[in-house]
Amino acid sequence: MRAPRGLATLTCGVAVGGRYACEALWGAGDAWQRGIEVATAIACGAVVAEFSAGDPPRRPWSLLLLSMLVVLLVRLAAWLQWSVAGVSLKVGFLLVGNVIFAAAMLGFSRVLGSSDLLSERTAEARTKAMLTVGAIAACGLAFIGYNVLELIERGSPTTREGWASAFSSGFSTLSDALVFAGGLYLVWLLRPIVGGSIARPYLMMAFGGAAFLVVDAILIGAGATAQTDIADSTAKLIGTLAYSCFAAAALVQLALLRSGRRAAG
Amino acid sequence: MPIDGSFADRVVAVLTPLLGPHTAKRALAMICKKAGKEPEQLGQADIELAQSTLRPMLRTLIGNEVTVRVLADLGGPGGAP
Repeated sequence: MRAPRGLATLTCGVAVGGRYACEALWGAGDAWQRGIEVATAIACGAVVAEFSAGDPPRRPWSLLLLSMLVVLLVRLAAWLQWSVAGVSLKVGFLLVGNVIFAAAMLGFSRVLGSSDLLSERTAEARTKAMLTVGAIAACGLAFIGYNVLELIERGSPTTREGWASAFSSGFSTLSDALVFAGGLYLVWLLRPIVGGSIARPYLMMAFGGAAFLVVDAILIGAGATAQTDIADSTAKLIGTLAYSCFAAAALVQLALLRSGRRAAG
Repeated sequence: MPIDGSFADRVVAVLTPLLGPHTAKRALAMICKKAGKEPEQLGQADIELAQSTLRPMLRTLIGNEVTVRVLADLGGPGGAP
């Protein structure tokens, strides 16, 4: 009962390499990226469908699917330039998507932590966990503080859209810091089962969470709100890597579940 | 999945691909604690106890369907809840 070895690496390699090639050959890197985002949502949907209704991991996977669907709405709203009262709907969808995404990561941590095989029951282990999570949270707060300073340095926004964009940028950073912290907590929780198939999807998610935070740092530097607003090709490739990590996580999870089903059949 | 050796060896062999060697041994230790036996004392009579110990923990991680299959690999009547 194993997912094929190399599936995650292959997925990320094809996604990032494909984006690079599409951009270099046809200037169609963004179109490739949209395809990766759709594929990630489809893969997450397949995982949700594979779990039974009462399975504990199904809920966080459903939240992850929902956040990926909201990402598609963000792109659609940006493309069609939807707006309400002078504020782009893209910003609103981005906020909602970030909340759901962070909730999904916290949900995964909660589910994994509730298994007696992984959760630490000793006081010493709990203290270590709290110190680790506290340190991560402090790093996240420092990052948000930096973000706020950057916004102040650039001057206050003058339009409603500008304020919405600034708020979205700060909120997105907070959310991505939460996702990153959740990812690190997942790694900490999973360390006893590293080497086992069950750990692999979650390790990919942690890696993807870290990549999203790097993209956020680049967005702040560029004064942008969403990945579609940046021109830097390295940042775009890291963005593709982040999404492809979540696609890889879903594919590995799917392969694991299907191999179990085939073996049972 | 035919596995030669003791029941304890089978538990570790079945769980290692999913959980890694460290946690597979930890799961065996949990079964031993519940059975009040040493690993080498575990036998076919302890299959149901092993399944009932592992079922909730595995279901939380991987869902019911794969859990049933893994527990069936331990032997006995299968892991159906």
